[in-house]
Amino acid sequence: MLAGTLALALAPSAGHAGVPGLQISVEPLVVQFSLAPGGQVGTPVTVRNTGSEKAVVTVSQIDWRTMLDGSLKSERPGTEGALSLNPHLRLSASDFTLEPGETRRMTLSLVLPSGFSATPQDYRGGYFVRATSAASPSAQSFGVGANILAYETVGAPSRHLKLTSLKVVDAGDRSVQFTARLTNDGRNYVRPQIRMLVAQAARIVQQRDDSTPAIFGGEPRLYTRTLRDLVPGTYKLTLTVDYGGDTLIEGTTDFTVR
Amino acid sequence: MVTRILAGVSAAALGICLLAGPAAAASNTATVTVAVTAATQATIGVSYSAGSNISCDVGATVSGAVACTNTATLAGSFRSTKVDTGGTSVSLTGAAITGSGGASIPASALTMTCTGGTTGSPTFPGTAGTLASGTALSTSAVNCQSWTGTIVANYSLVVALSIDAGQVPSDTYTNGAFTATATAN
Repeated sequence: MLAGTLALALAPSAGHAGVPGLQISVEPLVVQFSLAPGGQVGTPVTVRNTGSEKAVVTVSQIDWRTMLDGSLKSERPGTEGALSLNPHLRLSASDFTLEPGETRRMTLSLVLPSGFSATPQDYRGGYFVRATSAASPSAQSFGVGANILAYETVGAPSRHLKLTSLKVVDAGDRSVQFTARLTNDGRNYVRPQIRMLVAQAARIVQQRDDSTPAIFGGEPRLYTRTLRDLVPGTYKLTLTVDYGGDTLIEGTTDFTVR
Repeated sequence: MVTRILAGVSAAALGICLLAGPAAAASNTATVTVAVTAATQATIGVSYSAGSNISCDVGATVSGAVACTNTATLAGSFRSTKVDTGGTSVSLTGAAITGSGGASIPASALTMTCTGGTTGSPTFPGTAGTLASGTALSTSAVNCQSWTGTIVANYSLVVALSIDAGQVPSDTYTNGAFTATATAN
């Protein structure tokens, strides 16, 4: 006979101010450096216990990358090889305990040796901040956490993005799903801001301002969204992408709902 | 009335327009020492619908999905702008769970279904992605929900787990090292 019981967390204690249970606040989640070789810089990082339980906080380095759909993949330090910033990144605390309402202020420092490559290039690294209940501080507890992602740009890498395709497919129930494929054919990461317009007979029927996570040099991105509540008719979809370069990118496609 | 949608293939007209030439080549401009600390902030917490945990008891079931009792609510807030973060997410990372007798359950034996989203009527609710539905967990983060665009909002996501009884060797298992993570990238 098979039998298994899985308990994912232990009981929260009661009687404290703040949100019941385990909760932390982390700021900032994103730090963007532009540091020359031989330089050093630091920026404040704050972790606050906003829950009602005493929290045990552990901090560990991570490598990371952004996937085709924009989601983040966290990796073991060193996975990104020469692109990893971690050998030069330091956080001023690693493990500590926070009472409900207590705040820990730290410094995230980047120190680049003078022999670090001056070739224009992006690097990335970061830290994972994880909290568990002090009532069950082992690694086998349900925890909450946040990623602190650090970007470093040496010099001024080329910046360029292109839109390589824009497709619309039937999603049923008067809805369509469109997918734009973007490719960063430069060397500097970009964080595109996207405006989508849907027009019918030159009249705009839907518009949306949006964004997609950072796209690193040489990497593609699929930007997929669903348009709903479209009455029968012919439409024109226009996508305008501002990636922070000298130009905007625009793509259009027509589709019909019957 | 049946709605048919013709799109994307032969009927679609695709136009890609570069409004100017390609970006300038890399320059030799010296790098200025600067750290731009984006005002991105997240709060994330976990609580339970009842009791003090999620319990998955497969009992005598030998195959198929078994719903776990209780749900976990992941609640907190995000503050970010589309300029300094293109997306935000709340994800769940699983782990293999070892029983007292040495048997092991892979993280992927558990699936999660998330419901909920931002709460109240925030001025900047972001654009919500697709909620996880019957999505297998992994030792890597799997999104429960994600958003793009500017988001300054509270969120509340209810996570319901199921376990594939066929991947549960007979044993007794206690805590799993699961982590709910907030990310902005």
